[in-house]
Amino acid sequence: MRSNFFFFLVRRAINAFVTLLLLILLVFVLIHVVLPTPEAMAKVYIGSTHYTQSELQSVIVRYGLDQPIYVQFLNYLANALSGNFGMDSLYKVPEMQLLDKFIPITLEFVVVAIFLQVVIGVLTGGLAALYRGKAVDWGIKALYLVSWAAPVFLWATLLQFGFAYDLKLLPSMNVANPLLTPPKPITGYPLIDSALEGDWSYFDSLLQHMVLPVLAIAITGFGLTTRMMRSSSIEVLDRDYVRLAYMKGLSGGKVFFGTVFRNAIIPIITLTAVQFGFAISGAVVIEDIFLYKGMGFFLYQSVVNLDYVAILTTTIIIGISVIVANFVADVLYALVDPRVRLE
Amino acid sequence: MNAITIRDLSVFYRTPFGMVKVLDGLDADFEEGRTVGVVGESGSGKSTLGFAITRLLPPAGSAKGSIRFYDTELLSLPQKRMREIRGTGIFMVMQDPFSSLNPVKRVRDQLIEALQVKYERRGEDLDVPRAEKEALKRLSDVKLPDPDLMMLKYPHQLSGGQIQRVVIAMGLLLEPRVMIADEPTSALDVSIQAQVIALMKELQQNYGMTLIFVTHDLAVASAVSDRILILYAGKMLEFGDVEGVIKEPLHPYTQGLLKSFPAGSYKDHELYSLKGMPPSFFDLPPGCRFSPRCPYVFDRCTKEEPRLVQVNGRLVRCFLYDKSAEQ
Amino acid sequence: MDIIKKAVGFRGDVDAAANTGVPQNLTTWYYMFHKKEAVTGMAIIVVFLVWSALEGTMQALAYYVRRPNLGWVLLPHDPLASPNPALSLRPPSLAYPFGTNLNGQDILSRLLYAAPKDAAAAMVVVFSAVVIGGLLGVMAGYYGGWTDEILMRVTDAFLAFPGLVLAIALSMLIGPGFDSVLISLTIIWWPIYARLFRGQTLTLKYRGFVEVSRLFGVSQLRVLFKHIFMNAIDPVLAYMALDFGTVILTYSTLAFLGIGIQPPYPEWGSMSSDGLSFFPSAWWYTLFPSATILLVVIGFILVGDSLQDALSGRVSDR
Repeated sequence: MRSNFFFFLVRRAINAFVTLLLLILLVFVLIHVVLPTPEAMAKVYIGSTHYTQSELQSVIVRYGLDQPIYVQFLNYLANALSGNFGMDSLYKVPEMQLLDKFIPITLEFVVVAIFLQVVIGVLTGGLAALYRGKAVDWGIKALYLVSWAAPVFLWATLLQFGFAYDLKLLPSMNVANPLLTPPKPITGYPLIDSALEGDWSYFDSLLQHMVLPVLAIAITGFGLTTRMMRSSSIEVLDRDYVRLAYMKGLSGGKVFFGTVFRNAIIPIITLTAVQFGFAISGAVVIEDIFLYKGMGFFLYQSVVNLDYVAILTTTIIIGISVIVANFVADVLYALVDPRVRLE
Repeated sequence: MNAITIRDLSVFYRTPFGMVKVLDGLDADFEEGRTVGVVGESGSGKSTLGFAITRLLPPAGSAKGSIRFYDTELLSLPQKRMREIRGTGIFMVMQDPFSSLNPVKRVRDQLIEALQVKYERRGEDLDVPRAEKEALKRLSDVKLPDPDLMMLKYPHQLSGGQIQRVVIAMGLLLEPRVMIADEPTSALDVSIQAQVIALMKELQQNYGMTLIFVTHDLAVASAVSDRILILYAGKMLEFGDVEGVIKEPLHPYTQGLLKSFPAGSYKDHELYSLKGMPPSFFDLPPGCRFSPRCPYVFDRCTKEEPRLVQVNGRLVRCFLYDKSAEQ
Repeated sequence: MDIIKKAVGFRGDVDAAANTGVPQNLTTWYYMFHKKEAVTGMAIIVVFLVWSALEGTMQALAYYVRRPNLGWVLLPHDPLASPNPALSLRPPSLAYPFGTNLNGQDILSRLLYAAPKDAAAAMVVVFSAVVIGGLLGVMAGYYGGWTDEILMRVTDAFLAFPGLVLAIALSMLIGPGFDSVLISLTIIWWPIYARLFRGQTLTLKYRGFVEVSRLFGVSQLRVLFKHIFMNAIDPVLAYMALDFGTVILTYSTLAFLGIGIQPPYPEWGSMSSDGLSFFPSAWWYTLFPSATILLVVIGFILVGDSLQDALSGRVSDR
């Protein structure tokens, strides 16, 4: 049984890697469909509207834009896999250097948000299933209808107005109080770094600034999880094996946690990986509203500034994080559901 | 002494088309230590009977009337007390093997769970090695090959027949006073069928277990049961000793069921089959529910429903025997 | 009732509810027309779609006949009226039921004018996604092997792109107009349907009637389309209903970011976000567009939820 699990992991890892390659290929193809000639590419690389022909040519030569496509692709791929995404068109520094600062910011708050979202979703979904048809069920449905149907920017702004500007309970923008000194970048993840250093005021500030963005994502996102948990739980509750559990004489609590929960939560695992993708999408908008300087903020700014390399790289990085999230979900799924790993 | 006494039991289901009455005013006695075969086609309400007794009807279902387990009235019992009765008091083996076991737990864990309940109720501590041994014994009792391997398997790795036997083993482990078995042998080979039936009878003899054997197969029912209850469209049509019912069926439906068997003496004749289909609960025929298919139907049958009458120590619901005045 | 009782489902799957012998698709229809939330949801959607069709036709007509005012002949006011400071930011009144925006334009009219765009976006994107994803997914599930593996990896790659991100990136490359938004969204949307259809196909494959129809010599294509696709689509329908709402939400959010319909043309998302700048003093400016988005999306969610309940047979019990 153990070795089956191992093979399963390996298979999934290979899948993830292949997907990654395809991802990069996809982006590459997309770019070349839109910018078919070396000149078009070079123009975007230069990033401004004033250039001479010779400048254009030198860019083409420098970045090898006139080489056959598959060569370009392979070069790019090789570089990408070693972490080199080229030079940023605007800031003229290695792209990863820029992104290194922004990635942890976004990941920190998105992970917290997803966690919160899953907890809310599972609890409300489970409750709705247990009391289906009763007031609790309708109440929860009304709740998630409103939360889900409102666009992300609406919630983010309302939260900002409500808690930050009007009630002045929480900060309205930035990742942390700009007057405080950030901790040494040991891991690059501010929460962890400040905890490691014992810099609790910074840690506290980080948390405070994180609340509203996290809430914005959790509120817009939990509806789908609630819905799925509810329908999954109902389906499980109707199954014969739940009856069998009661039939054996087990108590309600034992039946719920031993049987219902473990079975109902299976589709939630896959769903959460998908939710991760949505959360990152939402992060773009939220970071814009809260001036929360993470990947989404950077992406949007790059679009505004026409920073081609940044856009490309950020998109790929985001794609990678989603692939990783999916891989983690796959593993968790296999841990919980034996039917999958013993194929 | 009746282990289960049912009086005027009616079971309703809420459907989008309205309320449907799946069991209608059922009266039945299940004697302690004996086997009653409940025979009915799909859609006759036979599975519902089991769920009603164990109070595990789906949310859309509701039961009215009286079901007594020895001296206890089950339908009005608070959930906690009902829970204490389930398992070691009443146990049910359900019809569909593929959804009967928890897909994410191994066989061993699910069987031990059952044993835990039994020991707890007896005031004993759970001794894992002893429990495992007991589980292994029961698995081999139901003739499962390689019980030690079987314990480690997950339900999706087993065939329908194997799952069926695991659930029966679970029932045997609990040593219930009443076991309701809903088509427990339908997924099994004939030879294993016989062995499983023999096992259940052994349990009866050793523990005085009452067995309610629900099936559509009159032949299997007759091999197992002491008495037969014929259920059709939610109503009991005939009830009596197995010998009598098989040798001299009173109700035309029972006769039809028996005639459908390809027995030796019918070798030269065409295979008989009852014409028509059982009615939908939304579209019940007026009068006797079997009247549209009955070869002996006459006028009164399509106007009123016959009542149960006693004939030679048996109960029948048919105007051939119900000679009361017309309503 | 009698017809329901006696009819046999035209898709032949008499696997029905509560042993009543009633085929599932008829139970579904019945459910959808009798459950409060389904009816409410459908009412909202019907109003939305009918209006969009009507107004959309008027706008198309206006374009072809080169008489722009045909586009707002049904509306209370001209949605694209020139900025009029005197009418700027007026609260709701009889003349202007939803108030006016910064330019003095009637918000209600603008909302009504923008409706067809959202409807169009939702319909085009989802239907394209279903067709593309459906065909690819069914083929992958049916043929299996390498076709399947390749498709799955490609789908995964596409799915790794969070929708908004790709739309933003694409808009930069293609340009920010309405058409590019539709293209971006379609590119993002089809993978999920490929997955859904593939999953369904795999389940159906093992149900046996594929083999049966092959035995009867039915041609490959007919099998694929008639049997598999038409049966696979059942659970997908519930997801589709929901998805219309999701497309509208995504589309509004893109408008917030400045991608999609450009000013001066109205769009619900940009109206809502513009209005936020004047909140809470000119509360009507953001309230009505936001409420409209909410209402329409809720309508789709309700229908999607009800469809899901109905189609999974959970409505009736054994």
